[in-house]
Amino acid sequence: MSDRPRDTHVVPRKIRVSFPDNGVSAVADLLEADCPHTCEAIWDLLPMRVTVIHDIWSGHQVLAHLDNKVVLPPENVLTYLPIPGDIFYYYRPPHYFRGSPYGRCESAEIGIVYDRDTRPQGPRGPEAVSLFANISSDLEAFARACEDMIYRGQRDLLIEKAGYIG
Amino acid sequence: MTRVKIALGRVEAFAQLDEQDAPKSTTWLKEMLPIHGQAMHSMENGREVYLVLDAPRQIEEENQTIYQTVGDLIVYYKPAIFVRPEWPRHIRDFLVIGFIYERDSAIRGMSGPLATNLVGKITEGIDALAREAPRMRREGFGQMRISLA
Repeated sequence: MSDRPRDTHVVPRKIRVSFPDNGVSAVADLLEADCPHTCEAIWDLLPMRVTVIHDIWSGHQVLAHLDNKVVLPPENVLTYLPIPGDIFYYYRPPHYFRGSPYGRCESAEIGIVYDRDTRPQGPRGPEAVSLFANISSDLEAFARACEDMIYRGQRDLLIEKAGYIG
Repeated sequence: MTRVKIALGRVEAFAQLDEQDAPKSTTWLKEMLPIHGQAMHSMENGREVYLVLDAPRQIEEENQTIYQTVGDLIVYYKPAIFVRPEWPRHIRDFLVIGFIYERDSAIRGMSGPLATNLVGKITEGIDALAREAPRMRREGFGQMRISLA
């Protein structure tokens, strides 16, 4: 059962995203007013440890694949330019793309945009994603760790509840 | 036709330079060989692997296309924002040489498709590159070497 407070306008929730291998972390605010169902669903999955890999179509963005059972309807849809720190949910059904991008025929995923000049894209062009959080602190170090993945490859990411702000 | 060897991580492939349609670019490239450096995977174009070249002179537009296909060996100026996190702001782009190892890839600039000099075609070993590039993307990118075969 969710431990979500009743009045989310007063106490918005936060999540922490961190790389266990280097200790770099950042905190993001959930955008509960605009994306309530996605926030709730992701919150209920936490904590989770996922593997993140650098995106190859979108620019300065990393992504983590979730269990394909995590299928959420579009919400607070972002179709064009995200800003650094945006965190989104995206789902593509089986065979939506030709072949299996990132080795997956079907994919539920979380994307994290860490710098400008980025646009969520796949093999067929720009994709609509559900924007549900934005990193509000410590983005700079987190961004460097993300970009470093171009050279070093994938790494683990811990996503956990970081409490509330009053 | 001149044949070049592309060594990426654990695999090798071979390409034929297109000296007929890209005479200036291929002449320049042959003078540059062997090229050796940090291989990088594209973050914006799809299935592209490239390395940054340290070339003192301007490369002219030649045998250009925005419709890159599997196996294309290309030379172009990649926007700096897609190359280095701490790029000097006075540098607009970097000269790179790269190849396309799978479909659904298209080179783009800051605002749309980016034309590239098509300097050759990979004729042997593209399947090995198509396996090695994703592996290196997961496990970390190493070196690429391009030399006369």
